[in-house]
Amino acid sequence: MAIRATESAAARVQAFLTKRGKGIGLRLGVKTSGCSGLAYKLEFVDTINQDDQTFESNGIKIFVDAKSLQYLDGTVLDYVKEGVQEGFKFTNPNTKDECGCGESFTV
Amino acid sequence: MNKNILQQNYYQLFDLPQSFMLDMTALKSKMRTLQQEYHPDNFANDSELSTLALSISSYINHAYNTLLNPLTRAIYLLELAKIAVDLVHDTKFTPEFLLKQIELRESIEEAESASDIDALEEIEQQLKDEADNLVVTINQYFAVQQYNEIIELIKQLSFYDKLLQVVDRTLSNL
Amino acid sequence: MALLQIAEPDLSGNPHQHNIAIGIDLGTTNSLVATVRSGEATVLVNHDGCKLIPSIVNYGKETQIGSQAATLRSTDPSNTIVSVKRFMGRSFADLDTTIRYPYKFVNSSGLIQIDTAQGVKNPVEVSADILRYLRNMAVEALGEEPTGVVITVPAYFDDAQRQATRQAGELAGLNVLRLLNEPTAAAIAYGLDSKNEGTFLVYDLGGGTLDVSILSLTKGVFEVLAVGGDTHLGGDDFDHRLSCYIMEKAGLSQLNDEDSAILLINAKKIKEQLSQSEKASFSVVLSTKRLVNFVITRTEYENLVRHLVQKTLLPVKKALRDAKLDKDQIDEVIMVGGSTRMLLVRQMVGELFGREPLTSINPDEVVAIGASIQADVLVGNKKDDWLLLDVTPLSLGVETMGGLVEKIIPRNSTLPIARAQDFTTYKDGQTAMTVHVVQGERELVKDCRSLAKFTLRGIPQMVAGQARIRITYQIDADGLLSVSAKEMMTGVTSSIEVKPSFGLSDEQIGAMLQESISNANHDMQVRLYQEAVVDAQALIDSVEKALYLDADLLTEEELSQINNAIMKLKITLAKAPDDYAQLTNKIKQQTDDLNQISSNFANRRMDKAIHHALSGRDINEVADKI
Repeated sequence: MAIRATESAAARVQAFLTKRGKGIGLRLGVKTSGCSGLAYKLEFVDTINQDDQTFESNGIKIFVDAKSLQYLDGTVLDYVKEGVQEGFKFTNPNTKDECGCGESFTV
Repeated sequence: MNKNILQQNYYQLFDLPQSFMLDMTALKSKMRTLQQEYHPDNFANDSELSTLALSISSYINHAYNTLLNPLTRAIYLLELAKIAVDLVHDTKFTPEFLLKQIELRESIEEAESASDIDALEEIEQQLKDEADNLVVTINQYFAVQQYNEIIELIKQLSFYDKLLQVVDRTLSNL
Repeated sequence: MALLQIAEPDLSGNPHQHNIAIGIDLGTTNSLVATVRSGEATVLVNHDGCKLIPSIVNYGKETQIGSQAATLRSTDPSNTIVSVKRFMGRSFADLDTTIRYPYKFVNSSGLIQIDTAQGVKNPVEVSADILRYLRNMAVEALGEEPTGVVITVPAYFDDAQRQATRQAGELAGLNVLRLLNEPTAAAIAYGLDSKNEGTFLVYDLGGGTLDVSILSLTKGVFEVLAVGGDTHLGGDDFDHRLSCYIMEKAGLSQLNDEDSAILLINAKKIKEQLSQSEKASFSVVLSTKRLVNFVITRTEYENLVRHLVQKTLLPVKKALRDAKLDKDQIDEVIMVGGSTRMLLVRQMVGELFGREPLTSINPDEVVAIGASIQADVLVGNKKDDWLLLDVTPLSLGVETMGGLVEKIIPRNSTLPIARAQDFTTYKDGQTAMTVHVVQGERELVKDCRSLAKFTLRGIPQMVAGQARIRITYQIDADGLLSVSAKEMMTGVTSSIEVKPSFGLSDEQIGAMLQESISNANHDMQVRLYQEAVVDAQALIDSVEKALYLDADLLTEEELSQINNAIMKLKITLAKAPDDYAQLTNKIKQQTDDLNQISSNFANRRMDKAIHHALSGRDINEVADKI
């Protein structure tokens, strides 16, 4: 089982953490709401939870809770610039379908 | 949010002992703590709470300013002791005091018409020293609760306060 | 597709529900928009990759904003509005007659308006067009409509100017959370960046205004100690001075509008070049075919404008006085505004304080960055561990007998503030009293700015001096004022939200809002409808897929409920929209219904998946099956 961050994503995360002045890594998760409601969650981490799994990728720590991990295994986190937008993007081999905005998905 | 805060007197509000001598550092830090809790910015998305916060936050600021300035603090303390001070109508002063005031006013006007900033700054310092002395004496009388003497000194202090404002305005305009 | 940003722990919102907060620096010369992404404040760019959007609007055939408008400045000067901020909240009588403007001003009952090829425009409308452009930039860069915005204003702006700025924001369809003083914004940007504590002096020299603020940062509380400045002194004045000098040197007089604009643009370029090199020059052909060649050294230029820099130091000294501080009690001096790139400015300010001023954050961007940080806190994206205590820049008073001003709230009072003062009648049997609210430091009403007038009626007949009328001034955290008067014996009250005397009336604003909303409204409704359709379709697809795989997890009744909900929603989706808003609501309602009805089903499928996983099968296999 693994979660990976690309080099550019890791570099951005590192920079954001430095700027923020605290935090030990990045939390990836999925939230459920309703039926299609699987949505990505991306947060800074200040404290580790008991059921967290930790991954190291390109020098950053990524924390994922056990339930979310089933939907995220193999996911690659990237940081991209698209036109005037920039931000993080998930490539998740488990997804069958994504909503138009890429924020929620189905498996 | 605690509405009762508006019923508290300024000393209760900042949780400080009700005396003329005041720990300014404590006052400042209490004010900041209270504002961090009640400032309307904390309730930017809730119009009802933010209206209440506006009055509480305004009350905190006013209380803070009242206690910060020795003149308003002394008047407030007398008010709490149910002693009224009438600064507008009670204008009995000793001739020496009045003479000194007239002299000070004249020297300010002289310096103003000569645009003499150094002289004005010197007068300002003199006024500040006199005011500081009065504050020290007021403090001593508060310790022994001699209110009549305090009222006299407050009247004098308010004179210096006004003169300081005049000097300040003159200096700003030069 | 919206790209994701990192949220604070436990503060990530629901999908599609983000709190997008933006900060806007609505400058005299340039405007910027910034946002906080993944905890870092960034200035947004437009399609050309530009961050600095010239605050210029051209009302020629079409409305052009920013750099497109700037290119029209010399060819179409009368329709190209620059530095509109100088006219915000000002009356016709306030117009500086020493400056030659290329516009056709219209005096509309005391208000400044400008006649353009597209009709008469007022400064609020022009500013709203700039703000709308910035809003669209934000929507494109962030993929969503901003939830709330903080707009910065010079600390020295009076009530009328603040009101006008807020109106412009509303007219542009923005939810204005807060007007923030520009120097305060800069201090926020530096203060939070360096996690410094101490006393800052912010020297902000922009295109049109100078702002000076002194602030302290202690234990997470920003306290503004004093503000000051000059609303008519800025980089433009340096350009004017140089352009006059060029005219003098070249023996020119009485230029037409186009040529004046050409000279000003070149003067500005020269100023910018001299921040980099010792010498600068240009040559240009005027509309009269006259060739102008001009060369100037940095020293020559500095001698030319030294008196202007000297003039900027007066408000600095005044602010120090107001804050009751010596210059050696200032821990850091922060430079803000494009004009602080001028080496002479940095040098003379540095000399005054005997220290190098801070310039590490781009002086053009620092205000927008600070505004976005505060906006982020105000929309709730960040648990605020700091607070801003601002002050009122000008004293507020009331007119008393003989045209004198009685101050009710002195300048530099911490906000919010409420102060009351008692007044009395001066005639026997007087039953009404007019309250005239003024703003300014002078002692005579005629030297101050009149903000509002209202009358308290119904005072019971009494001997002069018997009635007690309490006048209360309340300034909120934005620096906006409301005033009320109350007769203490009868409780008769009268109050007013102070609208600027020289701003726009409520009806005018109402009409302008109506117009802009009806245009924007249709576009927005169509977009909302399209979003609702996409969401509904995605939900139907995923439920149908889940039913295909796992219908056995449901009872017959549950199954028919879900199928019913899907059918209803499909019927609604097939309808042709005539009333977009109504149909959008119906789709949303039915989508919610389906979501709710199928949520148990979703949980059961999740449990099933986990059950499988725990019973020792390969998780990838499970993932493939669901």
